[in-house]
Amino acid sequence: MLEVSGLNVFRGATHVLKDVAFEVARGELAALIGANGAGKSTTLLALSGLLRPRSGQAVMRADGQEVDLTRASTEKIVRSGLIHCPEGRQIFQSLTVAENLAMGGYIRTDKAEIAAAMDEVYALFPILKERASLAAGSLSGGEQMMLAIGRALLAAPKLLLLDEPSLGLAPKVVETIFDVIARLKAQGVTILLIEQNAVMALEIADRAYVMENGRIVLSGTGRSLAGNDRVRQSYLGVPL
Amino acid sequence: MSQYFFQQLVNGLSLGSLYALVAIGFSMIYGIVRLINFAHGDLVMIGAFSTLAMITLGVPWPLILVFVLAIGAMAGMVIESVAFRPIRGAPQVTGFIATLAVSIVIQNSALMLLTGQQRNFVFPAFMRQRISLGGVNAALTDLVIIGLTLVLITCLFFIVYRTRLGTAMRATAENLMAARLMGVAVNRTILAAFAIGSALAAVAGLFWGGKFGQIDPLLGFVPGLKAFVACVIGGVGSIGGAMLGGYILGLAEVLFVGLLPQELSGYRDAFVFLLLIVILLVKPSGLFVRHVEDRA
Repeated sequence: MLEVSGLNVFRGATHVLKDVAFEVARGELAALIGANGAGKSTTLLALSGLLRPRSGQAVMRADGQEVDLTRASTEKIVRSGLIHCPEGRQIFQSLTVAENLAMGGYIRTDKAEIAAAMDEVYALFPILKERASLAAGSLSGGEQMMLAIGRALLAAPKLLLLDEPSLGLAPKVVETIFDVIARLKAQGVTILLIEQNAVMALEIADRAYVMENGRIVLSGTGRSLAGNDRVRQSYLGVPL
Repeated sequence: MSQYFFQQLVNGLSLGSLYALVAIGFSMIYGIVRLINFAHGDLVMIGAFSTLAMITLGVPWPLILVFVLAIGAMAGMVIESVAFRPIRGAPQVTGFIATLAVSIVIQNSALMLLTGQQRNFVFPAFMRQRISLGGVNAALTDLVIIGLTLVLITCLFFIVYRTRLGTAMRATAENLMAARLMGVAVNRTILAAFAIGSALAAVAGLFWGGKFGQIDPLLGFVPGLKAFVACVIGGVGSIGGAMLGGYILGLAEVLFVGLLPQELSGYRDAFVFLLLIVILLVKPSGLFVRHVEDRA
């Protein structure tokens, strides 16, 4: 579904991504793990067209159509089903919860479908329904994360990019979020998940990549990486 | 209610309506692209001269109103796409200088085209009559300005707070990157904000001509500056604040002129800016903004 090869991205003069290559198959949950500053978020920004790579390929194939992510506009990328739930939630604080969800469904036109999708999100996160008419900025961190995920779901993603959905949240909320991610996967949504919480990410990932200093240094199934000594030492906190 | 007080109130409200119309657009544009647009006042001039041209051609009044809205919207979109879009993302100072440049270009083009001569601008006779309301009377022009402004502002609030486009505009104003990730074509949304804001400024030009009776190519400077003051009073970036700031400014001006001895009334603008300084000392982020968030 997603194929990336030889991707080089610069931010200013800094060479952030160096020949990055990876792939995500349809229906799969892939995890990208690595330390702060390894280039994980930059990878996602490049995939959604917010950063332009200097060289390399990134192609998404969905429903028989092929989108060149290195050239297409962000609007076109979003319309073709790649939905990026960005780092730091980035919800619209001054808009209400319901308006945030409506913005998530901005690219859709069928009102009945949008209403149904909204009901699904409310079923997934009942707290959002209670807070529907409140300004999103008044929500707690965990609720804002739920809203950010709910907003992404309103767009009916075919490929969902999740950037650090557990960052800064209470363990209980993290569990809720991971439950939802597992459920989305079961529904057939293809997911690329970025996490610092490598334990949980590797547990649910079909495939995982480890990024260091802008390069993919290891890859494998979630389980095999969880058993890898180098990963255990660097990311899972297990002493050798 | 005494005739004198009523007359001052109507006067202040109609002047405030003009400021509010200009200030709302000023605020919308700042809100969405963080641009202090000093060319915004020149849309008032464009609106005034377009109206004058249409009066001369004998276009019926309701149509003039529609055309002025359309001309203002088009002018705003041209200015945005020609002058401001290419420098989007540049430092704020660059944008600020670009708006000054646009203002100078518009003013000088108008001077070359129309000469600097003052022109008489006459509303039809029925608009200039005075009508009485329970013992007091007011100029119909002022009442029309107040009424139409309320209608336009209501439409604007409906668009901004109840439609998909309005929601997208508010979302873009708050977080451009997130709006792009929702699939919003931000350039089109920004263009729409310029179109709406400029249309309102152009209608203010129509009213300006009708209220003061004379227009010239440099008339945009004062309303542009006053709109900026109104925005700062209300809290820059807030549409409701800009509107209220406009009304406060209009009423305050009329009040100064009414209360001060004759010799001082020529200094009304000085008092307006004094009011601005006082408000900024007491509430630096404006009267109607609870907290200020500066977008990085």
